[in-house]
Formats: sequence, C-alpha cells, structure tokens
Amino acid sequence: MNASTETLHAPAPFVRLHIPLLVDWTMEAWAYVLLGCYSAGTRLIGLGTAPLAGSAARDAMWAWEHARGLALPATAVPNSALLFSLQMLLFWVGGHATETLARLAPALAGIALVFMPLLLRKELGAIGALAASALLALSPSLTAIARSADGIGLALPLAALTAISIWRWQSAQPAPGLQVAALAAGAGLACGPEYIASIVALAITSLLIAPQSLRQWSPVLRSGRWWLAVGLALAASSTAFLQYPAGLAAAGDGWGAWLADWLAPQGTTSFFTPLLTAVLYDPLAIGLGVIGAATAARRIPAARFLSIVSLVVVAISLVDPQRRAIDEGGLVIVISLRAAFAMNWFFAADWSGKRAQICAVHACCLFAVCCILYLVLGGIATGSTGAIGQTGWGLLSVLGVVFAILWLVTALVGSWWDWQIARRGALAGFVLTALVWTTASGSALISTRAGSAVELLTGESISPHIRLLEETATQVSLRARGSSTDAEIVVLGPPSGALAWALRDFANVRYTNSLSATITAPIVITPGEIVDPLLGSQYLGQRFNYELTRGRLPTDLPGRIGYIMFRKIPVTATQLVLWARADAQLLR
Amino acid sequence: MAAEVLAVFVWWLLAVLAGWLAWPLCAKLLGTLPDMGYTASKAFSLLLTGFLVFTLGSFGFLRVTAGSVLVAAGAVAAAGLVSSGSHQQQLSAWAKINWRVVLASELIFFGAFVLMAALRSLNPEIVATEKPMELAFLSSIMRHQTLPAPDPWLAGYGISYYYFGYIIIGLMAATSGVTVGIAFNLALALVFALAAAASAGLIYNLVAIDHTPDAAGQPNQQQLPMKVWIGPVLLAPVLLLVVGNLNGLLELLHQGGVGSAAFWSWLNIKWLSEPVVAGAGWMPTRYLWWWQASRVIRDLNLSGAPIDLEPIDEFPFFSFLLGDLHPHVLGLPFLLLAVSAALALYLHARQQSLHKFAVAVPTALLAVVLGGLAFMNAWDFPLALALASMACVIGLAASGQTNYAIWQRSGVLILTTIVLCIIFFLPFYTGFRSQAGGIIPNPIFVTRLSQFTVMFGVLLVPAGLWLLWESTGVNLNWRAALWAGPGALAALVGLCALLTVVAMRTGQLAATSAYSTLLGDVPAAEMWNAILRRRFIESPWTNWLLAGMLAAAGGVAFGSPRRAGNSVPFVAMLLAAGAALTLIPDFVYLRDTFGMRLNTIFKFYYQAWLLWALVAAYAVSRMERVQSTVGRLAFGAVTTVVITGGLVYPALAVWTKTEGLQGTTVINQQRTATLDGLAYMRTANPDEADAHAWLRAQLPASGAIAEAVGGSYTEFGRVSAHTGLPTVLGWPGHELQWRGGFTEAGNREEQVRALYSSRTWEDAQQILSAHDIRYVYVGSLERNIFPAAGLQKFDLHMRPAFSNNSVTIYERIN
Repeated sequence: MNASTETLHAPAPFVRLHIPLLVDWTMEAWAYVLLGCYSAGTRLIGLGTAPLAGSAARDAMWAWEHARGLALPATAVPNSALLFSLQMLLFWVGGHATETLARLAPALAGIALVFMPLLLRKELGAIGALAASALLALSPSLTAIARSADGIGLALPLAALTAISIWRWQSAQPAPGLQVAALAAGAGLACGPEYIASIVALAITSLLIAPQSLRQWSPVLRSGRWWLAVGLALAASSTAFLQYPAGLAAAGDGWGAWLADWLAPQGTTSFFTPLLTAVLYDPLAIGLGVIGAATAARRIPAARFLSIVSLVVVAISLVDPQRRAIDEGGLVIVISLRAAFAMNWFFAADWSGKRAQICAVHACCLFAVCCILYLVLGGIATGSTGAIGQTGWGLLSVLGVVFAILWLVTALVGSWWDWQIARRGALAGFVLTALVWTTASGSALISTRAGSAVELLTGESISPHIRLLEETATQVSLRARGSSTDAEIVVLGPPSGALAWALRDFANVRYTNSLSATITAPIVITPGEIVDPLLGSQYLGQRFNYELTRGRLPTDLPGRIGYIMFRKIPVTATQLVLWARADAQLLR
Repeated sequence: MAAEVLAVFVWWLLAVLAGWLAWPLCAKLLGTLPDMGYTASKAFSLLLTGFLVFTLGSFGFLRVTAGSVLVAAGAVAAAGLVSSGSHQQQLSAWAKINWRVVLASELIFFGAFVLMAALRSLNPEIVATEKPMELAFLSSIMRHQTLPAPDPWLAGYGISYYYFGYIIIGLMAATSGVTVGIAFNLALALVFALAAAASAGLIYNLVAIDHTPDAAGQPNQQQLPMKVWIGPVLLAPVLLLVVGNLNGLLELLHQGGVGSAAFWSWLNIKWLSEPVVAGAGWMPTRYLWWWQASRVIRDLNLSGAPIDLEPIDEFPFFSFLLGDLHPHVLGLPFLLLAVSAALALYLHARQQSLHKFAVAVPTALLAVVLGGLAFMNAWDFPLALALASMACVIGLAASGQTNYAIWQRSGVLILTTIVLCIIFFLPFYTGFRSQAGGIIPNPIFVTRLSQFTVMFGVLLVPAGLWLLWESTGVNLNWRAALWAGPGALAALVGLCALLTVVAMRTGQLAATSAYSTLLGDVPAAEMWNAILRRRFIESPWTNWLLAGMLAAAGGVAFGSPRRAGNSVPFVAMLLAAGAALTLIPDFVYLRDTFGMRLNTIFKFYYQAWLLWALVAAYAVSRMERVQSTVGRLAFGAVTTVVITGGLVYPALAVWTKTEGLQGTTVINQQRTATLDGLAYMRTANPDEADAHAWLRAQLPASGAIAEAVGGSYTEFGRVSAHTGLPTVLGWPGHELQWRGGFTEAGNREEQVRALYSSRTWEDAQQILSAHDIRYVYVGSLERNIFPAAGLQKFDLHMRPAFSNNSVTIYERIN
C-alpha cells in the first residue's frame, strides 16, 4: 500500500455551530456525534433478546463458568478466544451472565468501527470520511454482525484497525502506526479464523499492487520488539491476561480451523450468497462503492487499493468452500470506504445558481418512481397485481418500464440543464432510495433477536418463549424448594449450549441420556417430540418454542420477490417440553 | 488407499516445511558446521515445536492440536527471523552455493520416508511386544490433547514415562488429521527418514571439516566437490539404519547346512546351536527366526547354562522391521542432532570461539536439545551430555589452548546447560518417577568375543581398520591412551569388585532370587575362582579389545596429527564412546525391575551401534587418503564383504516379515497394503474393531473405562490402547516399571476382578465411583475370564450404550 498525496477537490468548509457556553463544534463533528448515537442505538438496543445461537451460547456458558471459578472440560475450545476472554471479564465484573453482556464486546467494537474512517480523513477527505462512517453506521450487515456474540464482530474492526495502522506507517507517519498494528494484529489473531481471512485478503492485495512495498517489512519482521508486541497482545487478549491459559490454544485452533475449512467439503451456503446478501442488505454501500471505484480508482492510489481489496474479497468468497460471513462483512467495510470517493465526486461539482434545487427535485422524482416500483413489486409478491409480473418476462417488462422512466427523467434533466447535475441527481435519487431500504432493513434487525436474521423472516420472536420457559422454571423451583434456582432440573439429552445457557442460573441442572420412572426432579425438560416421557402420572408438560429453522426459499417468482421485499420465508420451530412435578405444578 | 498416500505426502511436506521454518534458529546452534545446520533442521524443528507445546501445554496454554502447532511454529519462525539478523544472507548464500547438499539431503529424506512407509504398509499391525503400550500412549495423547497426558493404563494419573517422542508424533497426527493407527506407522517412517537425513548430514559435515585447511576460517563457506562426500553420505544411513548384524548371514549358512556342529555349538547362539529345521533351500524357515538377531548375546551362569532373562541386542533395522515405536527408536534422530551439536561445540572449541557459543540463544537451544533427549529417551541424555562435554575438551586440546580461564569457561557452559536442561523440562520431572535405583555390579556375565563380533562386526571392521590406520598418522598421546584404555578398564574392574564385595558383605547378593541362578551348579565357595577363570581365561577378549580400542582412540583424539583431518579427534571420541558403552555392562549395570543387565545392554548397545555406524561411514571417506593402492583396495574389499554380510539380514527378514512382499493385512479376504496398524482387526475381530471405533468417536469426557486386567505383552489393556480412554489398570508389570513400585496401582487388579465378578450391584457401584468409571467393557476376553453371573448386573443397572455380537459397552446412567 502506498499513501496518496493526491489533492482532492475539497468542498467548502463546514459551517460551525456555535452554542454559547456549551460547544463550538463544526457540523462535521456534530454529524459524527449523531452517527455515534445512531450506531450505538442500532447496536445496543435489544441486545438482550434470547436465545444466543448454539455455539455462541456454548462459548458464553463456558465463559460464565470460568468467571465463577468453575473448571472447564479439558476440550472446551471457544470459537473466539478474544471474545471468550472479554465475555469472561464482563461476566466477572458484572457479577452475572446475560445475553446483553455476552454480546456487548462485539457491539462496542462495531460502534468503534464506525469511526475508523476518521483515521483516513486525509486520504478520503472530510466528506468522504463522514460518508464512509455513515455507511458503516447504517449497514445492516455490519449491524447484524455487531449484534451477534461472535468473533467476527471483533475480527472485522481489528482487521480494519490493523490495515489502517499499517497504511499510516507506510505513509511515513510516526512509529505508533506500527505499534498499533502490532497490538491490533496480536488481538486479532485471538479473534478466530475471520481475522486470518481479512489479513490474507490484505496481503494478497499488497502483493498484487505493490510487491516492492513488502520489502519495508523485512526489518520489521526481524525486530524482536514487533514480535514481542504481537505476542504479548495475543497472549493477553486470548488468555484474558492469563486468567484463561487455554485461550492461547483456542486462538491457535482458530487459525487451524481457517486452514482446515479450505480442505473441508463444500458448505451448505450457495455460491453467490455472500454477494447477494450484501446487495440485498447494503445496496447503498455497494452502489456508492461501485461509483467510487469508477470515479477514482484510476487516479487515486487509495481508491485503487480499496478496489483491488474488494475484488480479492469477492474472489475469496467465491472460492471459499464455507462462505463465511466475513466475506460479506469485509466486503461491506471496504466498499464503504471506497464509497467515500463517490461522495467526494458528488460534491466536487459546480453548485452555483439553482443547481442544488434542480438536483434535489431530480432526486425526489427518481425516489418517487422507485416508491411506485416498490409498491408494484409488493403487489406482485402478494398477488394483487393479477397476472402482471407473475412470470419472468412480466417482471422484466415492469422493471424495464420503470428503468426507462428513470432514464427518461435523468435524460430530461441532463439535456435541459446540465449532465453533471443530472448524474449527481441520479446518484442522489439512488442514495435516497437505498438509504430508506437500508435503514428499514437495519430497523428490522434491531427489532428481532440479535445475531440471527431468522426471526426477520417470520415476524415471530423466540425470546418471549425462552423467557417464559425460564420464568416457569423459576416459579416451579420456588414452589418446590422455596428458592428460585435450587430446584433440580433433569434435561434429556447432551448439554447443548443454548439450553445450558438458558438454565445457567440454576445450580442443579443434570443431563441424562435416558429417562426412567425413578426420576423425581421437580423439573424435567425433554425434546418436543417426546409426548410420553415415562415419568409416571405426576408430571404435567408445557411446550415452548426454542429455536427457529428457516425453510427453503420459495421456488415461484412472486414468492422470491416477497422474500427480497419482505424477507418472508417458512420457518419451523424446534420445541421443548418442560415437565413440572405434580406438587410443583403452577395450576395447584 | 488414496487417503493414506495423501497422508504420506502431508507428513513429508510438514517435515520439510518445519525444517525450513526452523533453519535460521537451528543455524544459531549449528551454524559453524559446514552445512549450517540444514540437514539437522527437521529434527530440530520438531523437537523445538514439541518443546514449546509441552512447556506451554503444561501450564494450560497449548494442547496437542493443529492450532497449538501453528502457535508454536509461529513462535519458532518469529524467533528465527529475529535471531537471524545478518545470518539470513549467509544462509541464502550457502544454499545457493551448496544446492547439491540441499538436494541430496532432501532426496535422502524423501527416499527413506517413502521406503519405510512402503515397508510398514506391508506389515502394519500394531500387535505383540510393546507396541500396545506405545499405541496406548499415542492414543491417550491424541484423544485428550491436554498436557501432561493422562496415563491410559492407570486412570487418574499422568504418564510417568519419557514420552516426549509420542507428543511430537501426536502433534504431527493432529496437524495432518490422521488416525492413531496410521500415525503409528507414519511415525516409524518419519523417524527412519529423519535419522537417515541427520546421519547423512553428520557425515557430510565431518568430511567437509576434514577438507578445510585450518587457516581457512569458517568451514561452511567452501563448496566441496560432490565426489568427495556423496559416497560416505549415502553410506551413513545404510550402515545406521539398513544393515543388520551378522546373525542374518549365520541363519542363512545354518539353514544351508554350512558349518560343523562343533562350530555352531562353540558359537552358542540360541537356536543356531540346534540342528537345522528341515526345509529346502537357504531361506531360514524357523518360526520367528528374524527375532533371533536381537538375542545374539547370551549370558551364561557360572555353570555355563544360559539364564532366562537373555540380553537384548537390538539394532535400528530390527526395530523398524518389528515396527516398534519405543523411545529408543524415537530418539534416534534427536540423538544424532545432539551429536551434531557436540560437533559444533568441538569446532567452536577448536577455533577458540566457545565464547561465541556461550551466549543466551545457542546455550538455551543446546539445553533444549539435550534436555529434550532426557524427556524422550532418558538413556540418551547421559551419552549426549558426555559427548558435548568431551567435544569441548577435545576441541580445546586440539587447539592447543592452555589458558585455564578458557577451560573454566567451557566447564561453566556445560554446567549451565545441565541446569537449563532440568529447568526447561521441570514439568516433566515433577511428575516422573523411575524404576532405576542405582547400579549393580556384574562380576559374572561377560560378552564373548564371537558373539560380540556377530553383533558389531559389520561396523567394527571398517571402524577398527580406520582406527588402526589413523593411529599411524598421529603422534599418539600415550598418557591419554593409558588413561582411556587400561585406566578405564581398571576403573571398571575396581568398581565392579568394590560393589560386589559390598553386596556380599551386606548380604544383598545372597538375598537376591537370582543368586542361585547365577551360581548354577558351582558351589558358593568356588564362586570367585569361577569368576576369575571366566574373566581372565575363558572370555577376556572382548574386554581387552574394547580397552585397546579405547586406548587407541584416546591416543588419537589427544594426539598431534601428522595427517590432515580436523574431524579425526571427534570421530575418535565417537568410537571411544561406543567402546565405553559396550564395555560398561560387562562390569556394572543399572538396577531396574529386571534385576539383570539385559536392559542396560539393550540401550547401551543401541547407542554404540549409532556411534560406530557414523565412524564406519566416516572411515570410508578417509580411505581416499591412504596412499597405498593395495591398502585402499584391501580396505574396500573387506568393508564391502562385511557390509554385504550385514545386508543379508534385512533382505531375508523383510521377505519373511512381509510374507514375500505380499503384505500381512487381510481385508475382505484380500491382502491389502495399508498404513493403518489397526486395520487387521476388521478381519481378526470385527466386533471389537467396531466397538473401539464407537468409543473413539465418543466426545472426550471425564471418566474411565473398565476392562479385564492381565499380564504384559498380551491383549489385556487393548481397549484403552486402541481408544485412548484411560482404564483402571492396564499392564501391571509396566506400571511397576514406570513408577518403581505399586503404590499408585495398589489393589486395582483385584478391584477390577471384583467389579466384573461380584453379583452385588452395591459393591460394583462403589468401585465404579471410586475410579470414576464411565464405561464397562464386556468383550469376549471378559466373558472368558469372568463368570456370567457377575456380568448380569450390568444389564440391570447400566445402560448398554453399544452392543454387537460379542461386545457390549455399558455406560453409567447419569
């Protein structure tokens, strides 16, 4: 990577907002404050919805047990050593384990990621950096990643920090860039396989664009201080400052898992899923990123670098047998940074006279047409448009008409007034439409269970069921033992992470591989398909939805449109049955 | 089959990558050698990575997984980058100039690896001798992944044995994802190849050092013509790993009816003194005839009758043919690495640059190499330490160094290394207990020269001829010769006599159960006469030969050379070390549970074989300097004859052991070449094979497995050996050996018997709880041993987690 010294067309300085006796900040600063609030809201609201995903629950359970000083099984290997360490510390500080605390670290890292374009303000420009931050804040993909208790929520921000620090150092900036890069790399190596994927993409890009820049690394790699910094950061972050020694092995297993995944058979995710998901959820970033590449990649090295990185990420996602979320999240980050150049291009025009108003009207017209298209597509999805758009050709015709209208409006503006403004008006209209789409997707994600888009697909939430199950168990325990967490609970089946997490506060949970009439625990939990658990007549059962599994994509065209528009898909619920002993039944 | 071929390739690739990764760091230790440590870098890398994983694993940071290997390998690579500095360019320059050496080393490694893998695939079964024990260690390490590893044959305890080699193999297996049955045989191939490459590299270094004029500075900047070194370099692995002793030739001659009965009777090698078993041709047909090569030496009591516990005189090819992954085999390449380190020390001392070695990194690396040997095969550690120390002494003597301070500094270096060896491997020592308990005098048993010649003749002829010739080219240091030869002999005689007198005076000798066996028919009053007669009249020749060799080697090592050859003192030291190792057991041996010298002979002779193989290969390289053509031809002819004689054994034994190269594993009624050492069970005992596979597939969890307990070298303990699950008690005799007593094992054998036999569930439940038993295994062995009435209770009170025609595995409920 080489820093660019190309001068960008800078817009006029922002107006300052002066509030007497309080602040004297520029609009740019206020914009970042607003973005911070927005990203904090989207990443923190509803963080406590249940349940955690299977492996995330298992890791959080281990972290909770370790925080309480309990011994972990020798083969306990969390997916992300860094996340495990942070969860352990948070649980230990907080004194109890909740879904919120389990997801807090990635959420905070996701908020921090929003501000990383600030570090590239010189290269991206003030508006570009702000735009990139806005895209990162708005991105539903990154919001979903930040709301999951998964190592990827830490890997992406750390990979971005590593890359930016290295960029700063190679731009002949002071040495702290290298030190920050070392610390970020050390922490990132403890994140899990996702960080490796990010660094590999960056390394491949560097090799392709500027192999000679790698020579700068020779003295660094021979520096004991560099490796010491990386090693200490890795050791500290993976082991929670030596509180969990096995974290170092877990970090290494993450690297091994990344390598092994390449040799594993093809996963279940299809070829284009990461790309399609990125387009579906982040059309704003994708579109602006493409425009940014088109306008700046040839002239500006930073834009060129980001373009190559995004192509490398796409290539990796295509060949990666497992199709991980990193492929999509990483792409969005890079594209968002590249989108900065699109915004710079947008503002680097002559806005004198009524150009701004013309552009605004143009954009609104386009937005209105898109709204009509949305309604038409919605009608097709629900079947209320009759035969229109029910077939492929019909749909293409509808889309063709709409795009013709859009082009016509733009052509009118361009030919009547100015093609420069027309292009920018089209961009503004796209931004407006995509902004609404993106914001709506993001809001939907917030209202559903964090870390899982499955509930997005059904409108149902599992969280109330889980809370009800926990509450029922608490009540039964109170009646049986006089204490809310002391009752013995027998669970049929292996100790699965999600259920173990849900029952984490109960002190006497026992897992068994078979039931018999000799079991006398006040509470017995079995899989939902068991209707007669041979416990005798003294138990009464109650069903709870426990997990949702998405069904197959609709095969018909209206169904697929409905999926794209409204994310509707059949889901099946996995159920559990809670059997309460007769003397502890709530009905008595 | 394709998967196994891929596994072979993966293991080869991992070894090569490991070597490249650690070469810069290896060069810090061995950089003064002509090959800059390249040929030893693979073994070095595996040892260092294993050390890091073990040390950090002992504190809970790492485990035996691919990820932990990556962490350790990353640390090794980083350390190499940091420490290489300007070294980096030197390494690159060396590789460019000496690409032939690199290529030869890699080809030798690859060829040896593939060859041994192919051989193992024709006879892969992990049965009999101590292979179940080795399998048990490997299974436990691979299953549990934590360190220290749990003892698979004593649930609730850690392994009390030097099992570092198994950790290294476990790491390779974890990284490559192979099963334990395949890992076992690939490990044999890997050790074979590492030893081949290391021995070849050592000989290259010795030859290259010889061709370096003293004034030329660092020897590793020269390019040596290939024709000078290629012959000895290729010969070294053959002598070390391929040739056998002359017993193979004798078997051939015996089968062919050559030699009189009197000759065979005089030779007195077991089975060969019997009439030949009827069979056409020269091919030996006696059952397990190839086994006899490891029992050439016969100890006779004072009456002349052989004792029951006959000495073991294995040699490397026998071990690989048998497929025995014992620590003395695993330690081969790493002992060679230690010899290389000793050579580097010798060069530093000779060049008066020991101060360059006595800094943090090289000293620490030396401590890791030597300390690792103690953890891998404790018997090798004293030898390696002695070689390193003597290398310093000989090097300083050769340099003519008289400054006492320098000598003192060398002593400090060795002492520091010893302390670091202990500190670095402290996690091992804290949990290790040994059966060794001092030394015992051996006044009675003497190795006969005839049998000694059968055992070592192939190597001793070229080595001895070299020593003789070299003696003529040196102003012998007679004082050193006297001390080394007669002095050492006198010291051993004195020590033996002293210990014997003490043992007799304190009544310990008479108290041993073997006392009457030792005397035979000889009255106690005649004992000393009989001993002296044997020592000085009947069988003194071996001792005198070895004493003579020690004297000559000492005189050469400390003499003033008249002939060029900077390596000569070092090689003389190796020869002397081999002589000392074979001389010592004739006078004293290590006290262990066997009570006889068989184990001491076993380990010492094995080490002597390694040292003399190197000397013999080096001797061939020196013969180019013999000015007399007749002399060169004579040496060549004699050496060729004896080596040919030594190649008879591997040729015939491989043919027999692999059943005519057809393979011994039968699957679906077809002979199959496979590296899976447990594949035979699919035909031999498919029910047990399925049961073991089921157990291996269960996620590691707490709890032990109960199975029938029985004697060593039997199928008892097979479930834990095949699955890695710890059992209540495996081979009691071996636990006794490992722990020096029965304190830990206690009455577990009775408890297991009670568990299976008792009709009372409460009694069984107590035993289940006491040992945290999760599974109770009931196979055909258990059904044969224990009454059916006792087994019935498991059906009533435990859950049958697995069941087939002949095996039921019960699991405790809840």
